Amino acid sequence: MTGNVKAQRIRTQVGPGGVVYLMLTALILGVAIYTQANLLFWAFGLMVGGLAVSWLGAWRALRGLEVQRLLPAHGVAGEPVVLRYQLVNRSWLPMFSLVIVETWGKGRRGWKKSGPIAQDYPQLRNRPHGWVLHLGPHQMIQAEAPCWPMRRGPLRFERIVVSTTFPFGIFRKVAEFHQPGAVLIYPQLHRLNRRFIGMLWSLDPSGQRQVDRGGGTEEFYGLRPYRLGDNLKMVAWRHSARTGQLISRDMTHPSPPRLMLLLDLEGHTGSAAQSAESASRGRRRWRRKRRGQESQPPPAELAISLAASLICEAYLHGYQIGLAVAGTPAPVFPIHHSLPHRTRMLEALARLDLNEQRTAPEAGLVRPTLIVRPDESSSSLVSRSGLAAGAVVLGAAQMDRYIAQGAVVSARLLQQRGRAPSQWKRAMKNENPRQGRAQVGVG
Amino acid sequence: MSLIYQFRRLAFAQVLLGIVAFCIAERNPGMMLVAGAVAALAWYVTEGPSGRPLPRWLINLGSLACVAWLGVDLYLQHGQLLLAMGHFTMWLQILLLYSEKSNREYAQLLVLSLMLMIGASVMGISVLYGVLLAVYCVMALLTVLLFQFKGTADLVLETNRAAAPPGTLVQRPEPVVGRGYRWQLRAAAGLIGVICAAIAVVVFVAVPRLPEPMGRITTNNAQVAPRRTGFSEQVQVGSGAPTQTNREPVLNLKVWLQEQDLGRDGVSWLLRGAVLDYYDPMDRTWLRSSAVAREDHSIRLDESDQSLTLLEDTHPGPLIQAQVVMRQNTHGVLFTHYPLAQLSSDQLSMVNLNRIDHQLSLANGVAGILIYNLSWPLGEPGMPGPDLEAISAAQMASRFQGGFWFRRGYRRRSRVLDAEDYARGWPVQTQRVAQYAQQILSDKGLTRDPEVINDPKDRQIAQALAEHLRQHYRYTLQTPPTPPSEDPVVNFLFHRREGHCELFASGLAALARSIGMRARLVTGYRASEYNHFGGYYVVRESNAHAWVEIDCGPEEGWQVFDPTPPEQVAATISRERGWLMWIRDLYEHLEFAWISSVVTFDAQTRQAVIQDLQGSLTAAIDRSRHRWFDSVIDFFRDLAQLGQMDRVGYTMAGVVIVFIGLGLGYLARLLVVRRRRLAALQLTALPRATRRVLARQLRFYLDMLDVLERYGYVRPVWQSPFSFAQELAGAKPQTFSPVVALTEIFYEVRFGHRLLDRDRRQQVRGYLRQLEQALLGVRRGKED
Repeated sequence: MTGNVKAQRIRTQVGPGGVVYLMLTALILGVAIYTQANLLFWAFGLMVGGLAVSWLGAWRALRGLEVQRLLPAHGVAGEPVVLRYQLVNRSWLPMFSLVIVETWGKGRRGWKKSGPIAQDYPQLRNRPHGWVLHLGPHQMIQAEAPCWPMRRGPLRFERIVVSTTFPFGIFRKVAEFHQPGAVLIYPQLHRLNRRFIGMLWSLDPSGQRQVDRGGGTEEFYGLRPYRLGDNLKMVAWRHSARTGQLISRDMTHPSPPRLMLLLDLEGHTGSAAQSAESASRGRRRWRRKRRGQESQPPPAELAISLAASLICEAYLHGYQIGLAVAGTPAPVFPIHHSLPHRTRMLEALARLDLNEQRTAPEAGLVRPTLIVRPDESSSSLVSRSGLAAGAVVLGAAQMDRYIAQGAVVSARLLQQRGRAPSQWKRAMKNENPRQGRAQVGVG
Repeated sequence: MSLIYQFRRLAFAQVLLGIVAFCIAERNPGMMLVAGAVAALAWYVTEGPSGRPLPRWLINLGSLACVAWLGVDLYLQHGQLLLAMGHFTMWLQILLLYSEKSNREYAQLLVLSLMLMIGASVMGISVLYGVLLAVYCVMALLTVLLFQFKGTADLVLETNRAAAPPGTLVQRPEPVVGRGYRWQLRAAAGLIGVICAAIAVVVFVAVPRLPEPMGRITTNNAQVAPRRTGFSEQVQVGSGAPTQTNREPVLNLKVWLQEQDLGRDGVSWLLRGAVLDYYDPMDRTWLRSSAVAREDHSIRLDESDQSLTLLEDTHPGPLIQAQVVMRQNTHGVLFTHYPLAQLSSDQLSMVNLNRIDHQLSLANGVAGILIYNLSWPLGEPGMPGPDLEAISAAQMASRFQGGFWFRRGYRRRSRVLDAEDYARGWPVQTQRVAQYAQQILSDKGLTRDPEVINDPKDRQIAQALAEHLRQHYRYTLQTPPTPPSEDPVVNFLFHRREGHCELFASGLAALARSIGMRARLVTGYRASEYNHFGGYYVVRESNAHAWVEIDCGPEEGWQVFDPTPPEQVAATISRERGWLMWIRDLYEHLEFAWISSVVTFDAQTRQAVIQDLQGSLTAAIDRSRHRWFDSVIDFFRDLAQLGQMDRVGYTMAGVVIVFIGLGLGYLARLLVVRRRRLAALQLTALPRATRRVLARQLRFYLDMLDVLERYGYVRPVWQSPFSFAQELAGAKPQTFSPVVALTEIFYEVRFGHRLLDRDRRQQVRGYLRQLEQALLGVRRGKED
């Protein structure tokens, strides 16, 4: 846990209904003095009572409140990320109607000048808001605030602001908790269409032939003499009895397609990157957003998103896949199939810094079968000779061609376990792009 | 989401209540029916099974119509801005009820409703309105609380929707609440209400009041609810019967003699108001001549006891005391009894007294309720008139310059007061009336010379005339106006021979005057309706009455004669005592208490309350300054005084102390047992209402555990009821089969929400008996 669970700053402001309430109170007083109607003096007394109660409430509110942000391990761009807050009330008074807001920068409007909302290509459209109706004395509850990150990268949090306007909205009591934190947002994931996946399958000849070999655990492959360490369940007892020596059953071990993915960002990094943050840009972006004009993601981000989608689809279908990035420093991931492997690749894609223009030395040594570029016409560091072996170049500008129509891939892709080789064939046969989510199921 | 639904219901009810309260304050039942029905229909239209709000353009059109109607209403109400604005805001609210409502519309609705209640509070003085105002305040508190919750929830929802990608459906999240939020919210709301009410009391008392309102935006009562008052300082005898329908209370009268309440049903008192000595035959009107009015004197009350003594040491007998609480200022007249011994009031410093007709009136205006005390001698009604000489010269302040309550037309007939002509002579068909009077007297064996001012038998003569009218004339309120060619009094005496009290009084005055007696008409009230709750008479406008005062010579002075048949009057205004009357008496008493303590709370009352508070505070401070051992000494001194009690006193005190101790011990034991029971049943985490029900329902399981414990079978804390029952049943199935059955019932009640009915309770008792017998059998078997 980082940051303080106790409030660093507590202040009281005039609430949204405060001005209206005061005006009504003044109106009642004026009419009461003018007419000397005693019932209006009663009404004025009640209004003053409401004012006093609000002040008392604001004075005691949020004292003894502890807040701790509980962040998820990661999120996905375009998908909801639920921020959880653990609230503890150490005081003897209940708290009502607590609003929890994430904020950045200095001052009340600081989030419009800095932070993930103020960027040119913003990570968030608005501040996450959570609401707690009641928190009893000496109680602990958890509240949620959903947010929808728009792009990949670490989503950093600075401060939590908890406020309440209970009981009448006249005063607003605000407590700030300085708790820096971050959650890594994966690139946006899309569900790819069936034809495109079939094309990926055909890229690797070994995968196309489906050469099975022994040593696996899938289907019956043959018989062989027992070797020390073999599972006793795999002993073919009938054959052993007939031959007089221990015979083991050998099971198939299919060889799935092997793909090496090269993300070629050459020419889309460095000064061309558009993720620099500045206050002036932030203000421009805020004004643009107020006008309803959302900025489009840069092509490099689309390419990263396509690469991440490919990695997830490959993992889902049991392919072995590796990753290399050209144009910006990133580690090269050899071809492999496992959940940690996929997670590491997605994390690497999430952390890509497009501001740095430098090619990793290992990237030039890989022989990719699949190249993803922001646009098809851009140049590549990978020699053309390397592509002669059948590498396919995918342009992110034509991303719509690869995405399954009507099926937006959600973060469910990340929840899929890698399928066994015998299952990915069945999965591919049954897959219907229009009902992709239902067909995939949760493993 | 029930919270939001509750808010919608509460807001609707609050607006509806505001509309009804305004109509009640306006005393407009027709408007209440129409507006209330239209507003109530809005709930069905907008929230009903196929509810749908009206389109926005229709609402806007209706708003324009409301604005147009505001102008028309201002014209119809003769510029009564308050009424017109009240109607305008009321119809705007009704329109808003039919529209689609966001939080903004709800805020507008609540503000409009509050403004409507402000207007209603200016007009409304009845206790019914006070009750509605109190309910409205409670509802407003809850509505604003829920509105605050709803507004916050909507703000968070809208913000999250704005943060979500376009096309994403963001559902309203369920509110996050901690344990016991319902009762904590209720307790918080109750506490807020109590604090607000307490502060309202302090503010109400502390805010200084002006002696007079700065302006009168309040409506004229005559225009708010047209009414005809019974009492008048002039009597038009030809205009038909006075109204008997206006039951508006005018004053309360409390009468006692030597601390004994004299008020009861069937006993009535005449309260003297205006004295009319001149009959105008052209207008057929009884008036007070301006020559008499000039004799009004402003008299300052004695500063020592704020009193004015009119009869001093002339009547040694006991005095009847009375307290008059004037609920309305009726033409500035002070209603008194005749003859009057003393008048006193803390609110009055000066009064006007006329030396001729002894009429009392206010010298200065009094805001709000006026309370004054009267006293008059007990005995025969005939007493000499007030002795003006008894009033000291120092009390004579200044000559009254023109009566402020007299009409301009009255002064036209101003003439110099002639002592011989005062209240004498009858101008219409004098001979005929005189002959008729003499004929009445001759039947009684009496006669009178018209030229003589005073006759020794004047009292008997006046009684004979009044008795004749009472016996031979019929009292009725159904009196059509007299034709213009005929005098109404003469018509009453010779033709119609029936009429109301003004005609009776006019007839007696005409008969007496025609034979040379001094007679004057008196208007006032006849207090006969006794309120048993308050212990006072309620005098209404419908109790207005007229009678006659006749000069019976220098010895006896002016005497009161009421020629109206009392039995017939009583039969006309009598009411049967029943539960409806009982409720009405109670309501009126409450209303009087409400008006006297709240509605008419003025600067003087405020000063008195503050002085009381200051006195109490000073006394409390003085007490707190005592040293602690002084308190101890006082305590032991009190104990010593306690020792002076006799044996019966000791016994009674001991019994009371023992009972109080037993009661407190029982309560403490109940609390402890209940807490232990909840802990044993593991119900402490449930909401209060649920655990109370379950604790009552599951008591049989604790009884079962007690039975088992007596025989040595104790359930470990860690063991669930099910496994405990299984373990017992596994050991001795026959013996512990009731335990299994009871455990099943326990689970059904605790988790299955199937509460015990009568049959199952009997079943449970049977199982318990069966278990006890089985265990007893096992023990006996072991012993054998």
